[in-house]
Amino acid sequence: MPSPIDRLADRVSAILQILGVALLSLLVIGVGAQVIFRYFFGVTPQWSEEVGRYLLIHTTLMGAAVSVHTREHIRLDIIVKALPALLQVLIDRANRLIALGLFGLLTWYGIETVDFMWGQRSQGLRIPLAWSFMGLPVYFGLAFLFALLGLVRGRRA
Amino acid sequence: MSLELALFFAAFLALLLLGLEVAWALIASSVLYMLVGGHYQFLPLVPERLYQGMDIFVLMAVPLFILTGEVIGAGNIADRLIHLANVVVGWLKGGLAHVNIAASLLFSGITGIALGDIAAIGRVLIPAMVKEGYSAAYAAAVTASSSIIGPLVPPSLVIVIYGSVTNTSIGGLFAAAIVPGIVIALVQMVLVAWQAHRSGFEAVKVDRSPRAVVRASGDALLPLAIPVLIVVSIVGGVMTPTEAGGAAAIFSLVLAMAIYRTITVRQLAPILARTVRFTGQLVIIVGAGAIFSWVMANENVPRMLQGFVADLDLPAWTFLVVLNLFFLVIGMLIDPSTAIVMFAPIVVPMAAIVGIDPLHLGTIIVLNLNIGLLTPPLGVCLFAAERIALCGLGPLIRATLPFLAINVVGLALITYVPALSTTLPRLVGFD
Repeated sequence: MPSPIDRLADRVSAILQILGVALLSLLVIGVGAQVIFRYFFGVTPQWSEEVGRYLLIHTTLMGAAVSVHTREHIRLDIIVKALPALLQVLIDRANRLIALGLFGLLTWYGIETVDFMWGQRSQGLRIPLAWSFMGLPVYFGLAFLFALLGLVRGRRA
Repeated sequence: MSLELALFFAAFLALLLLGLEVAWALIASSVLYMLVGGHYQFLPLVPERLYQGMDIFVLMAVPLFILTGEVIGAGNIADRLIHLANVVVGWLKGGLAHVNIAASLLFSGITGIALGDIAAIGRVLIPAMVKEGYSAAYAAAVTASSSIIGPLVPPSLVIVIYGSVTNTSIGGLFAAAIVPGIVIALVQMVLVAWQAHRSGFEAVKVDRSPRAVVRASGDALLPLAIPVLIVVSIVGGVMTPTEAGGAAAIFSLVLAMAIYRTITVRQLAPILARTVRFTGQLVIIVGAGAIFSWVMANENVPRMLQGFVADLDLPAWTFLVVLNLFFLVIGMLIDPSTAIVMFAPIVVPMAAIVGIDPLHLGTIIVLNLNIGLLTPPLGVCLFAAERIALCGLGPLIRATLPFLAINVVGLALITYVPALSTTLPRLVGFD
């Protein structure tokens, strides 16, 4: 029986995934529309490339955070699997701890980066870059919480 | 080499082998370098480098090509290609093994992911081959070996990543890799023909009447329009890779949902969700690689290696031997995208000094790294094929050895006959 906190984490991860799907859909539709506009009307909106890059980065960071929760990130596990069970558990804990530390660092300095980026404006839309960079602390903050839960709970499917 | 640099490499390798996620191993070893070397002032820049590493326009093609592959896989569209391959090459001795390779070649034009090829083609052909009397290990070996054609023939995710981190024309790389992809399929078919002759493999009884051939081609016509669309539009310079990816994704969705009706609206959500997660897993590595590259640049590694190569004054063929050996070994340990993100930006200027065509170089590196998918410890294609065939890893590795050898022969051909890679791009105007 999953505890309330596990259910909450699953729900947050599911919401993040839905948001990612929404952004991906926008990306597909946007690129499709761009092709149509260019070939049939001969115009490419100036901001379309920029928006596309933001969509990609946010989709990536969302997908990466969800994959921390689902433990799907690409890794080489064949060597560890050959080790004694106790050692496997220890290495697993150490890996989770390292990832947790990294997510903490990326969140902490991500906030600093966002602060700095209020003063920088994007080339096309002239919006503060902070809006896009905000993805860093938000998604790595969530990844931190997912990783913390994983560390406390031990191995999860 | 400074002590912190040595520590940086050692830490990366240790973390990788001990199973830390590749993306985090790249960042963790870089952070360790900054801490040990006293470069604290760079720590706050880590998130920014990660972000900028992913902020590359052509990378937008990655989720689009992944989505196309997922839709085609879930829509059972490979079955039509297998049927066509069966009519075309099934009547040869060792029919189903040939069909497996030919279907991989056709399928590789739609998705550029080796694992997608194994899931789509292995699922159908491994049981079929076992039923015809092939050993499960052999069926899995053919499936795994032929799957590495996928990342070579456009569209290819690995090539998109290679082009984006080395600033090489993706259209040019796509054009360069087409003929080598066919060469790899052909050398594998030569091996199968020899094995069939020696072990007496059967041909498949296929209806080869003109009517059957026309019907099989007609059934596969729409799926095969996808590679034609992608290759012609990118190689011909009509569309950017991103636009072609978008067109292919939309076309495959229309095909699977409206024309063949093999995917329902309800089934679409998990496909999109998988695409989001896989995009996250792949593109985050490109971002993490930017931090890793920054450390290398800070230690002057690229310039040192370039100077080293210039001083040695190697002839191109010797350089290529070293290059092949290096990337074959790296490919055994590190997945192709990560290896490209880590090493390609350094190797490209070195190869330029020796006078190797950049499109030829890209093809060689991508092929090398894909061969590594067939060897432990990384060997993801072996493991994926074994999961379907359930033949045990030992017998599978033994059955794969001849294919590994023939792939290396193909690699040598592609390495030492540059015209195989450079002719097509030149014909269509990439230089």
